[in-house]
Amino acid sequence: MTTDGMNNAAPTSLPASLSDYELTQASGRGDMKAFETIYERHHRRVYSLCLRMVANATEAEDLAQEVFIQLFRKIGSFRGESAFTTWLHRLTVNHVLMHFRKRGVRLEKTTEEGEIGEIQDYLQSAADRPRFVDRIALDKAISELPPGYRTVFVLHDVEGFEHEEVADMLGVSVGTSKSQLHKARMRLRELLNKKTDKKTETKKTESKK
Amino acid sequence: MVKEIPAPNAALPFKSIRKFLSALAISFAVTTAMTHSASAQTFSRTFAVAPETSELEVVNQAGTIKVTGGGHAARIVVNARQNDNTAKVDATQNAQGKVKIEVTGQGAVDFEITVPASSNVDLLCYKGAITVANLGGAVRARVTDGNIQITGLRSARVEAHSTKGNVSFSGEVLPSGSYTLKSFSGRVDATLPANADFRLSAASFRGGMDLGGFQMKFDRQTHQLVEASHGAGRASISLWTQEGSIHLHRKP
Amino acid sequence: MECHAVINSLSDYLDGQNVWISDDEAKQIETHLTNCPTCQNFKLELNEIKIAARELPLHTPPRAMWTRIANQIEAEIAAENGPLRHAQNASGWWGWLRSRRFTFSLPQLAGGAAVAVALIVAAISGIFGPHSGTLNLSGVQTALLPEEDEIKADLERRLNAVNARKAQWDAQRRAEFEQHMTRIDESLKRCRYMLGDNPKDAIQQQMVRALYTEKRQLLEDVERLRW
Repeated sequence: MTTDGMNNAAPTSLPASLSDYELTQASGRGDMKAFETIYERHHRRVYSLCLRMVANATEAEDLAQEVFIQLFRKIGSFRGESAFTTWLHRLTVNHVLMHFRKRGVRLEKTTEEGEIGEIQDYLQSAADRPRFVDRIALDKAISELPPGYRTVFVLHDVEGFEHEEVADMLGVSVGTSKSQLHKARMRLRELLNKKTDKKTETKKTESKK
Repeated sequence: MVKEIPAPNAALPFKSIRKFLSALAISFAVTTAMTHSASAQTFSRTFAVAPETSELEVVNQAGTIKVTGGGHAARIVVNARQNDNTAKVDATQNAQGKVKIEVTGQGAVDFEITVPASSNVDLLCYKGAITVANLGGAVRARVTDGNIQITGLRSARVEAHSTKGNVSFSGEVLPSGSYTLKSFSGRVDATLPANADFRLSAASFRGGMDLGGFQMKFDRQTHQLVEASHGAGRASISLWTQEGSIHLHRKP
Repeated sequence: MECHAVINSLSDYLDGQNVWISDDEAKQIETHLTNCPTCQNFKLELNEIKIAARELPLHTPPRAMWTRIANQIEAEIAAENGPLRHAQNASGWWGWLRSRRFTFSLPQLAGGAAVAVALIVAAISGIFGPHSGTLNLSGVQTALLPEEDEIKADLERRLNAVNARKAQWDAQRRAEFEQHMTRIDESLKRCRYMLGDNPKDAIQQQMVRALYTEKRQLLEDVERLRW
């Protein structure tokens, strides 16, 4: 088999102009080069989504890998009715959720601590310090969230799914999705503030009771 | 300590000779000040330089080198400190006015040097850290084991390279500029003006990249290599790390 | 409205006032926010988190991921098209063997016999070539870059000069130097290995060049430091 030459073509040298839909069609006919281009375009998003949901690099790698293999099997059934990215993200989310179910990860995890205490704590220490959310710090903080909060936050705030969709995917009520999201944001705020405080050694400890 | 004295050159304009003589006078007047204390030894020297041709080279074995631009317009002021007395510091100025500081021996020496803002600097430190701030001249910084931090630059030529450490750059991107930031195992950060005009070549073998939201025209984009241009793509920016990650940031 | 009631409604408020909370409630919250810097600050922070979440950096999986995916798909196709049943568990031993090939574009994968030949060839090269973990390249030293022999000769010369002086270094300096060199060499092996698989891969070429430069830099440092 003489595949040399073609073998060496870097994935990026493929016509960049081909749309995702055209590539899915070609992949559906068994064109691996087209599929590789799809991979090149989307693998970081898929991997990042898996990583954010499971907060473990090895698991995320395995999951992303399975997603692409599944994608190859199913790609012929993509009809181009929705955007390919949406379709792929759905596929990824479903795959990760399936994985959660197999592993028995409970999503409806309620808060361990009372938030009221946290709020009051905040009220006393609130200073109008200028700060912005560092994206890398936020990324790290997400990985520190309990799985239930993390899943809802990733689906709603990172991936942009609506509460109805999140609720549907997770098999919970919209109300649960909303409250988990709020708790997730609150926890993130807390985690980020903790980091900022550590960094700048604010007088927080002084003013705290 | 070797001091090169140039032969008087009749072709030199009077101004230059005067500058040269005053430089000489200062070099002699401000003799090396060495202060011994129980724990630390300090060293300071001042060199007269011509602002537009000011040049500094430092070769340090261990410790920190901190170079800041914008002090006296015609002086290089070197302050050094070592905790034990095992390293020897040599500071010389050649006929062209270039100041060279060389450390031999094993001990760590920490330098704080101020230079005219337009100075060219060439810094090497085996183990430690290099910090460069507010310079407009060419900057070459090399640390084998340690971090390099460059801030507030308006330079057309920057080369920063660490084998085992992080490299960060923040400054202007001049149209004809060339900026190379490399680290073998550390992370590379570049903070650039949002409207900077550059061609980027960024390679990270395993660490990944964050392009900081720059909207670029990509010629090549894989998870290991990005070749792209921003704006008209005039300056050249080259970033590399084998094991670390690459991060671009937009300066607000 | 009390602070904590406001704070508990902030996400609903931020995510769409018309959807989750009434206009009336939204107004009450706004009135509170204008008078309460603490809650206002709270709102700003939650909003920042919400905005930043949409702009998170992407993570990059290891390059080998594509290889593994491609291996498994190829094996599945082969299994469908030919009698090579054992190729099905491609993620295991076969996957490793096949990871010798990098990208593959096989427009006509359908030919079962051809695939069988490919797998056998890969198996043989997998057995005899470097694979699985060790990546030992010493011995395999065909030039992979046009200028590689030249680079190597230059490094060799510099290294000899350094080696001649190394005896005078103290143990720590020697150990550190060796450590740096070894680490770069390991990476170099890995990249050369990948380049060997796919000799026109411009990315790996660049990586290999960068690593040679890194090695030369270390040797130059030693000269400048007058060790």
